[in-house]
Amino acid sequence: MEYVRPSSIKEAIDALTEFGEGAKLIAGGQSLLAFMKQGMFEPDALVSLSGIPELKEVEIDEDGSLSIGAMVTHTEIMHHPLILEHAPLLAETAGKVASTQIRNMGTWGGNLSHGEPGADPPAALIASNATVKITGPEGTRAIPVEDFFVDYLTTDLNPGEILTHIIVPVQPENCGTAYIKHTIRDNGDLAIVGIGVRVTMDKSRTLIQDARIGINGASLTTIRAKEAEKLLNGNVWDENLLAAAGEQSADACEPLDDAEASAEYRIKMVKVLVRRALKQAIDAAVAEKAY
Amino acid sequence: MKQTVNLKVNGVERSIYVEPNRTLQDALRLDLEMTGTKKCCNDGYCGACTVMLDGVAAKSCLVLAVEAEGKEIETIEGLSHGTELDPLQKAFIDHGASQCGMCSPGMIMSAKALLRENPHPTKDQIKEAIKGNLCRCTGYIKILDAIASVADENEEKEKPKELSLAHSGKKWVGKSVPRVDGREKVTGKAPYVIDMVLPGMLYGEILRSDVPHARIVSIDTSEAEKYPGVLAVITGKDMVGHYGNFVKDETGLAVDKVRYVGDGVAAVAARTQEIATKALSLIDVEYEELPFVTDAEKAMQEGAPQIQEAERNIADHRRVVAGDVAKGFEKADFVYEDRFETTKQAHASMEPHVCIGYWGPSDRITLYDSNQAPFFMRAGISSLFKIPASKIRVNTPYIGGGFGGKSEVDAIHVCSLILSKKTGCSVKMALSRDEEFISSKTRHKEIIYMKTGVTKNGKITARQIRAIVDNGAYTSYGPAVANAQSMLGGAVYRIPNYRYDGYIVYTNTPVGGAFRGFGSPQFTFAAESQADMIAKRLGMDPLDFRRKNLTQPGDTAISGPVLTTNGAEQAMETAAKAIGFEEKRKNEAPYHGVGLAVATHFTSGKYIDMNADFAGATVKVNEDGSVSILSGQIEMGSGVDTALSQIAAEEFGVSIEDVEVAMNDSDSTPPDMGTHGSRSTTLGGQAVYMACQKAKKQIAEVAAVKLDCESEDIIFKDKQVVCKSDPSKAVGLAQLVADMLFDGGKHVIASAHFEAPCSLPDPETGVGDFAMAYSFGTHAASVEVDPETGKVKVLDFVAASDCGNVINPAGAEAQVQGGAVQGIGYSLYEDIKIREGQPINTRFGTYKIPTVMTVPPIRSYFVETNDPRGTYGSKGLAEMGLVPTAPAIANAIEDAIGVRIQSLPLTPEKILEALKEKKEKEKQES
Repeated sequence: MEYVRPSSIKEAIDALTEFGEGAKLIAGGQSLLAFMKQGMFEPDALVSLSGIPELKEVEIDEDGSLSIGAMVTHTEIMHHPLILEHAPLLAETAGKVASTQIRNMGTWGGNLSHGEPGADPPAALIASNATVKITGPEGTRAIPVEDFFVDYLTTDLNPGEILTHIIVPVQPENCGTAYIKHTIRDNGDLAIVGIGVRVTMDKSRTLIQDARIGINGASLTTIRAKEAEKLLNGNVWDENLLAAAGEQSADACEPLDDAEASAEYRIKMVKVLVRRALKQAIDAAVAEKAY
Repeated sequence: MKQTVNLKVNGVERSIYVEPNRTLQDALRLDLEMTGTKKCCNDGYCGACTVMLDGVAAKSCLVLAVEAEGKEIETIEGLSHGTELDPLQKAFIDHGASQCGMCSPGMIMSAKALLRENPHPTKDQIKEAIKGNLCRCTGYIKILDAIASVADENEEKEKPKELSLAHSGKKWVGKSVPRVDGREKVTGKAPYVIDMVLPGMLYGEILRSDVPHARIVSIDTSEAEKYPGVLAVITGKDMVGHYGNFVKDETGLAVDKVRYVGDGVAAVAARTQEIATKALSLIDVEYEELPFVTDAEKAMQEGAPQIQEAERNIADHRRVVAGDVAKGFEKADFVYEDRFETTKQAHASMEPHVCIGYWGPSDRITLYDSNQAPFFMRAGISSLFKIPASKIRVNTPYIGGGFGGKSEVDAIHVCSLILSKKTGCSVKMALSRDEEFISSKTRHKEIIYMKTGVTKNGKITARQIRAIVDNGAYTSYGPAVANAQSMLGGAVYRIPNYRYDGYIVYTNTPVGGAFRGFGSPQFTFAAESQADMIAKRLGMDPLDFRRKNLTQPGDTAISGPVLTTNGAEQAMETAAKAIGFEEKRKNEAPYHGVGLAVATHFTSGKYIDMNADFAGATVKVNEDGSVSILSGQIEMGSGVDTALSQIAAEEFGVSIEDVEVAMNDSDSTPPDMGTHGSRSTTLGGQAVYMACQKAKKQIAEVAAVKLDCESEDIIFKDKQVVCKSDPSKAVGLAQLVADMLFDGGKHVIASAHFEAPCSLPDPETGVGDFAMAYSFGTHAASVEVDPETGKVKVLDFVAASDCGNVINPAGAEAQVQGGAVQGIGYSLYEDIKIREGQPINTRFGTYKIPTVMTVPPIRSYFVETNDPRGTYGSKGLAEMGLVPTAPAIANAIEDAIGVRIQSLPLTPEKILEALKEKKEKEKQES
């Protein structure tokens, strides 16, 4: 096996292109190495992103949006002052990923690029209306996170492309967020279902202006529950409305049976937890300090 | 392509030359020979390999060595300096936080990283920091206490109470003496077979069947044999015969057909593990697939696929017939029959099964083995290979957890020895974590039909049990598991008429074996769930129902056990009071519930078709006044070395530091059936006690002459040999033994054999007093159930145990906590799931053992009884720790939400399903 540690994004793309199909990027390695141990991947070459300083930066872009480098770790996301200020949902979500050791090494760039449906960051990023910045031999492009996941363990990344940054736009005023992770044992496990929501309220504090719902673990990929969002937007909230949004969200899911839970159970959990997450987000939004 | 990688480990620059896919874990363990960093899984889950990178915790198995270049790497070896320990390591010893020791280095490194960043963390922060570190022994509580004591100097943990032995004036027994193996374990220096490398050693790997049932048409090993670095390849043709304690149906590698996914078909010995693994992929096996059956009830039906040469796949039928159940049921006002189902639980010892076999040129065998019963191992190897036992040396250092799973000959032993004979080299074979789940033994899954007759006042008139014990594809301890549960099943309640029929049935699934509890957890889940069900049907209080029926001290149980001491009722009352059973039942918050369960378990026993149950020990008193113990017991985490040291220190009046327990080596340790069946302190301890008496007699005879008194008047106290009636006459123990040796022509050494006073069950009726003692206990749990997700949270937990007199209260508490947490796993999570014949959860990421986050507060009480048959009045304890857990939790769930789950584990899905049915039923009724 070959191993290179380029010092710029361009060099990394060149290396990926040169090694071709058998090459894999290594970010924090926390998923990749586990998969390699299990024989799921046997790369001929690893291109390490650990030598590229710009991928480790957290910054505010000119338009005010938050830019998180692909090599920023879960632990850094939990504690970074800019993230805590501009996107606290991401810090909260990062704190629910796996265990301390994994959070210290694992990165959000790596996490997203694996396309694991039970991972935590995707739903929170969908709720936050985030995009990913991708650079490859053909140049740089940005796509919404919800379009990044194509199929089970498959993303929109083309050969030679690297997810370099996560871009989180300025969060609206009067919004509240929540990430609820459901597991059988504890949140060190992959989510059976993980619900990330952001609810923006109008001044009346009763009318939902805009809701965004991301769902991990209940389909082959993380999904955005657009129909459920439509049900909520422009309406005065009550328990029935939130329950209806839960039902609607479940309709959007096509879960798998696995050792953790049946598809049927996952559907039930989407219904319950979307409702609970929405309630939690609304409570946060209407709390005094949000205004 | 290999490259030079420069690592800075514990401040020292080291260079290694490795492939870039070398993990930091392997670099540390194999290239730098620093085995304090452990390797217990292959999916990055267990955390035993935790190190610090630039001051933060990381799993070294998920970091490439090349990526650790330029970072400060700190391992457990860097924490201590010579004999000077880090405060965390000291705290782990003081709190008894290290049992088998396999998880300790990783756990300590995680804690160290936390404390460096945050010297005064909260308990929740500590939990979060070690959430990614699995432990199978301790139940995490003592680990949390240890870390908290370093984090907060004011944290005063309530010390386990000193119990009756300490109060009786004993100096060492009855006291919470810190573990004698603590320093070795917290520093990562304790020897385990998994960490051993011998000169010229080869690595063996087994190719396993990926189909549940098939005839082997052909195996082509030619490509594997040609692969560079491969020295030998073997298949079923190389096997030497059948083995098995009850039914000789195992061969090591499958000879004619494979019977479950995981059955061995070929094995390879190669220069490195990577080469061996690669070679396996070059072996071509052609199978003719056969119909398979994974459900034991279906396997018993006519026309089911035939797995072994056994009619209706029934390997064995064990029974107890006592009284007349038909008459008993006639006397009953109500007869209830309920069906219960349990799961295949995995032992999940942190150290996998591992051995290093060497077949020497003189047909002398050496086997380094992670094994609970070396004497049995030697006998098994001897009989299989037809080599005299005296020519086989089984060497067992510390073992990283066993729980029953490492107590018999397995395919790795057979293959490593055959491969060694072929190559002339020693061959190490270790199971990967996947293999641990797929192809090591499990707790037997059972289907239990329990029929109980009761009067309207709640007195039991008869009980009949039909148990279908899922044997898996081969017979390990299935028949004995049925025996044990059949006899123990009659000992908790006074049952006038009793019948048990256990059918041990082959299926195309992983093999059931010996596992902590040995049949009792399954039976107790059925019996104690049903106790609450009956109480409810009769409108009785569940405690009253039990009070009416519990056996009492002095009873002879219907199934034979003589219950000389019996703390069942006292344990129940203690646990009920501690958990607040009666108040909680009356005034509970919605979705909160409380439940309890009572159980018994044996102290060793004669449940095998062999009229023997023994332990052996040799005690040597050295010329410096120290005492060496050679015992047939194994330190697998239970604390036996500490208990044996306490006994010897007590008897010779020396300090515990003066006692050394030697590592087990079958060339020198006396015959002993090993460490299983809750027997180590009670039986192993009794052998040590007896050997001490003999050695003391040797010394006393010389002392009597020297001190001019009767030898019966000699006592051993404060490192002195003293004339009791005239304490002015005394001589130092060291002085006396040195004089005996250098000026008296004598050395002091004595050996003793303890045969447990018990008997084989009657072959006709199955009735028998099969164990020397019976322990009792109650677990009580309070739970909260989320009615929408079905998730159960155990809020509070109490264990009250009657294990006779307690030799080491802290150690006993550790056993109970660890057992209860395994029991919580058994209750809520653990189940090797088989779909279409394939096991689907074969890693720690998918087979869920409890983590620190799932552990409730566990309060442990000891209801001491002074059992006349055991060392200092002790009885067995280790297994009792998990026997009643599952029904206690099931009963608490029923109390919380009004639904009864009759199959394990008690999953959220089952709970939601039951709630739905309940709602529908209520709707229909209204």
